[in-house]
Amino acid sequence: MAKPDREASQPEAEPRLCFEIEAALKELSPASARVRSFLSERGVDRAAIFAIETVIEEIVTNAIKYAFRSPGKGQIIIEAFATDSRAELILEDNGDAFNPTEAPDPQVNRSLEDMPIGGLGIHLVRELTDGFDYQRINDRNRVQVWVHRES
Amino acid sequence: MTTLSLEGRLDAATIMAIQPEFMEKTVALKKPVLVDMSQVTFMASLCIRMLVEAAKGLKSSGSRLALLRPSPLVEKALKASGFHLVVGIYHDEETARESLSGS
Repeated sequence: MAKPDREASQPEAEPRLCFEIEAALKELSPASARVRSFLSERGVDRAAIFAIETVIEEIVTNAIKYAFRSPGKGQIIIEAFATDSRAELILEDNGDAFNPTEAPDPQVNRSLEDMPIGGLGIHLVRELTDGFDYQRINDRNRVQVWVHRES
Repeated sequence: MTTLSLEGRLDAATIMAIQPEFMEKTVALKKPVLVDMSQVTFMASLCIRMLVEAAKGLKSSGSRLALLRPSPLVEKALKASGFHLVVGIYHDEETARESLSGS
């Protein structure tokens, strides 16, 4: 059961979008659309939004693959906000511990035959964001990323 | 030469749905493939993986794959993955076709 959504201003805090989804691939497109719309309304540039959408796609896909043994039973909380200088995203799930910041980086400068077909998702997150943190808090995975705004 | 277009939001769920057909229309034909990316708005790593697998499959039959006109944001993701080091990305169709004509 999803928690009630909230999108409200707090005193001296930027407006935040926060909602919960099931850990399922079908949830990703509508979740990304909500975050895209929220950040776009706050004037965040398309490159920063593209990077944030990449994070949602890759981190949630990894959570589904590694953090949840029973598909569809996991819950993921998505929180997004924008400051004057950057767009931020926090993804929190109740799955098994999985630290994506420690995932090995694939060697991408090889021949076609040696080009890796796995591990590219976390590599993209590293390349497209300006900050990438992980914490394990109260048996929950918490991934936080931020991207500098061009506008 | 096979020319086909990918369009819209190419997230993991979409790629899982289209990959069998994409492979049938590329690798299985064993001919050079030009993929028009100009209408792609978003691309997950699974899409890059599909394109790499197609390029590898074509290479094993002596053919090649090239991409045409990705948007700047899609091209940035492709380059971040190292894709451009092993598969051609072009913004001019004639040049792209010339690059594939020998394969």
